[in-house]
Amino acid sequence: MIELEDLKQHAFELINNAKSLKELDEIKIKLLGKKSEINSLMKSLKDLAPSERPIFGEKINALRNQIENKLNDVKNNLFEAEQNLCFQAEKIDITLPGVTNKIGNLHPLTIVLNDIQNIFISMGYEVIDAHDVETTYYNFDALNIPKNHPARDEQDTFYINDEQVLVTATSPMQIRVMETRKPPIKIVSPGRVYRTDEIDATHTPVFHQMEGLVVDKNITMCDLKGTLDVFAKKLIGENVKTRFRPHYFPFTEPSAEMDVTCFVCSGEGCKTCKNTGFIELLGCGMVHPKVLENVGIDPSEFSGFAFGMGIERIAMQHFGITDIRLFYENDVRFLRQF
Amino acid sequence: MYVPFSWLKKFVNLDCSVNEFIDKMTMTGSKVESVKFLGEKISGIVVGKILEIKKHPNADKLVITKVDIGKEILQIITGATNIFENAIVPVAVHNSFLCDGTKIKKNKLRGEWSQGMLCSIEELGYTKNQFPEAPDNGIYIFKDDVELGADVREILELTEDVIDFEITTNRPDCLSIFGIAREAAATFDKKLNYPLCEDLSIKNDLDIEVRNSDLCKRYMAQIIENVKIEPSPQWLRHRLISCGINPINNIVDITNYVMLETGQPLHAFDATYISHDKIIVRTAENEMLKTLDGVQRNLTNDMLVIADPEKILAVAGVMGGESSKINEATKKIMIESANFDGYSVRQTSKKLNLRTDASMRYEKNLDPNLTEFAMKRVIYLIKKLNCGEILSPTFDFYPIKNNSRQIKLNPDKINGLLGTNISAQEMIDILEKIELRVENGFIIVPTFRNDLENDADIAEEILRFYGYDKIPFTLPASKNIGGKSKKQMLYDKIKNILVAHAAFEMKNFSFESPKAAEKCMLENTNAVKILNPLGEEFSIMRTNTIDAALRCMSFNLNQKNNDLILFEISKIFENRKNDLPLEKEFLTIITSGENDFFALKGIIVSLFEQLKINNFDFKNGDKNFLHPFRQANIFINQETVGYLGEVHPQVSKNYDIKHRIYLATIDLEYICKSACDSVKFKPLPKFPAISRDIALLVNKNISSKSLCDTILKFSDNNLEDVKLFDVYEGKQIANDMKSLAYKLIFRACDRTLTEDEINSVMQKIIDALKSEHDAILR
Repeated sequence: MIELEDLKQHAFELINNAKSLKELDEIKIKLLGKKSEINSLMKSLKDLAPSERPIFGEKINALRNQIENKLNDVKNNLFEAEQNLCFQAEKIDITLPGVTNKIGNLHPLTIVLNDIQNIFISMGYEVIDAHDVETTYYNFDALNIPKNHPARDEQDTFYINDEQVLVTATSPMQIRVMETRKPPIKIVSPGRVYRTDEIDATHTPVFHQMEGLVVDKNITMCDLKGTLDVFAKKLIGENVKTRFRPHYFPFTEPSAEMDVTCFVCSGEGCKTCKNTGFIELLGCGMVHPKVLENVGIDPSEFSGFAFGMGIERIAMQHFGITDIRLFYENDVRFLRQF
Repeated sequence: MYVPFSWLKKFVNLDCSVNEFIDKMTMTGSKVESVKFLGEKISGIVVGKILEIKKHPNADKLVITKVDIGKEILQIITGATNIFENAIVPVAVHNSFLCDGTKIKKNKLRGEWSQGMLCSIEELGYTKNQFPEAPDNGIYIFKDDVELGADVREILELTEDVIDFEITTNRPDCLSIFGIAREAAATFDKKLNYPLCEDLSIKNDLDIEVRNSDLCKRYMAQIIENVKIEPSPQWLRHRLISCGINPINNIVDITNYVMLETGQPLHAFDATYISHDKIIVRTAENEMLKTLDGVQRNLTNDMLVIADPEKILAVAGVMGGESSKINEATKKIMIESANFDGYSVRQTSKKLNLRTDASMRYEKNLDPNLTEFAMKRVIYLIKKLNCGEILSPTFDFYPIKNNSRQIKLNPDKINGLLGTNISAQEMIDILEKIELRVENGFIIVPTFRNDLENDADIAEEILRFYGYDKIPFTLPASKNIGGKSKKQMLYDKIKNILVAHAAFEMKNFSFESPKAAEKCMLENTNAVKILNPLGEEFSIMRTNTIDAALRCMSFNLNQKNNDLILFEISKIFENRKNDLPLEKEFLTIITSGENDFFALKGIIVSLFEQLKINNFDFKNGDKNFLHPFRQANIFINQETVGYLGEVHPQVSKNYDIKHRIYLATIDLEYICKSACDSVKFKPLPKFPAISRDIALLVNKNISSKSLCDTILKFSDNNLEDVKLFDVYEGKQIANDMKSLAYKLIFRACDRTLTEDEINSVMQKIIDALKSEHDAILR
């Protein structure tokens, strides 16, 4: 018995003194291998009286287990210590730059237009592509802007010939859609529009707009307000407030302009919003009964609303861009910022 | 439309602040552009009294004055000669501002201190026209005994808030102070006070002939005799100044004043210059007229004019002629208050490039009944200001009367459109505020509101004063399903793939110069021309997409932005007979620097692979704007869909590009046709692949494609892939030879291939390469 206790003491001492995993492996062989004392003791069991064998055997096994457990504990500790050393040797300077793949970028107008379209798609709007060249009928007459209407001259139009113009707004698409579809209609239509404006920091002769149109039974001015309020909150933020002011468009009645609380001062009043706290975002209104009649939709049965917004304008406010020309210079130092 | 706040208050008893006023007016539909404070440009200029004037010891032309500005006495040096002791003058003291932004500071002039400056009317920002009592040259002298030290703006009545309203084209009635007053009265629920007027006695005894009654619906005229021309009183001049109109003399000022007040343009003719005492309203016959602004103008046939039997006196609704202009000697005048057709005036004004306060009002189609209101008011003012005598009745040509329109009040329809529940009585109350009376269920629309025609118009009027902000936010009940079309989604995908390949999206104008095609060495095509372009550079719609791409690249290279990939999805336009132009969409990619031909080709292949376009191919191209031996046509399903290549040095030179540039253009119609959106899953391989590398020495003219074709042709079904992994030309091999190295990957779907199987296939392939291409195995 004493012999076993000594053996244990000796073994633990050896194990505790192991300096490396390699040394520990050697100790393990020495203590538990074929030539070990424990093994010889096991072999010597057969020399004992049969009644003593199980008692002594159990004791040897217990010793063996204790040594094995001890070996494992020390092995784990040694492993951890060695790994830590290894890790320390592999230390890197994480402030060195990451290796990046080159990546390009979408044009900021595409980014903003996608955001805007996605908001309306989430509300069930279909996206319809627009023409750049239209007949005067679609650009003017059908939109309740007859030949001698002052609005016809005001929208500084590019003419191709007497009957064809570069679209002055995305509104002509309203007519094309209403001519070919029956209510319920719920669409948005982004496109390029053209005005004879000389180029300066706030004007380009080509710019982008997006039109929206809803026609169904029982569409109301409240639906128009609600829809555009949701749009503004999704585009700018939940805290934004909308304000609808009466305005005039030949193809809507009642008409309105929607203002939103200023991007810069959040409604406190600043230079950007001319101290009004609001910034004009879009024009809108209930589809004019004459426009519905022009496309063969009975205004006594159906009503609708329409809205139109300038994409550059929104992008400029969104990104804080103050010169519209940057959009069309395509300087990559500009393009990569968004 | 400028509205001085104090003038407006003559018609509506407003007790709110300017800010509150503009906020509420904006919400009822009168949008405010800006508010300016009339005397905002000058500050710190006060009234002072000259106590003594002494010669400057060191300067002959200067004097030293002592000026009492109430709380102190200043020493001021001036060169003015019109001053005298006890004169009361404007004094710009230390740290004050003149109208041109000059800051006045005390300083030494020839060794003597000057603590400010005495001012002329011009230095205050005004003219002798506006303040006729001012001397021609010199310091302004106040007439009356005014309080010393007072701000000159108070004394000169320049403390006015002027509100600039944006008036929409449907509301010409609001191009007047009184029209705005009507809106204000309704907005603030106040009584509207009409201006004082003189009753007219109408008798058509003047010799006036209107030949074009379609363009002149009404013509009123009044002769005034014993006219005394003099400056208008200060209150009147002041009101014109605050609206940005220069005072001239009492008669002209009154006509302008009444125009501002009522919105009806008026004109005064010196009656002595009307030959034969006869007025003819007719169209011009290619005649000349020198207008009031001194410009000789050529009047074409469609322009309406006011003439006498010998000559033209005025361009109707636009501007009077110089000959019949009111001058200091004028004794007898004719006042015109007429209604001219808006479209006609607009066309005339556009053609003459002459837009006046009169024409911009006529353009919007005025109410013919307005002429009478204005005439009554003019006569009242002429009498009140003793400008002349009315000895004869008023002439009035008005063949077809403009009567009130009636619209049935339909509360259910209106509530239905607005989504409201406003009672009929509430609607009636609102309408009456803006002078729309309701009788027996019908709204009687006054003629000045010609814009109101139907239920929707009435709904807007009701909502304006009910409050746009008072109705709730709701969403339409429509159950539409939204989304983008397949094409739109494909375009999004193309853009995203290109961005992942380090490409930047450009956006260019849709215009082009007619010279662009030549610059790009392209054929001139059937371009869509713009009739009224912004210069030649922008005079046709794009016929190609590469001109803009090259310009962008050139711009970026000039900015030292190198190694670029730019792309654009854009339209080109083609003229068609009897139809709208054809609009075709293209993808254009342009690259520079490290992004060479094969980088660009790689992007295109990668794009096609991502779009699951399978059957594509590249063959040598023949575009003359590309490098003859570095270009390819792109095929999908044997159809040409575009090209890529190195830009010809001549084209690069045309765009000042000194680098090698690569360009690709792809017709998106084919991409839409070929992109596959139904991908079928293939089971993952169960057996291992075996690969073999071969390096082939071939003549330089042998294309890699032809070698691959041979490899494919002579292998069996188990050849999974052939990949080129090395190209070598150089010293270690003959001059006319190149070495191409390929990795061939074999795999069977049902077993592991044996070495023997592969060896025998490889032998066949190598033999074929030898016999077909003289390829030597390295």
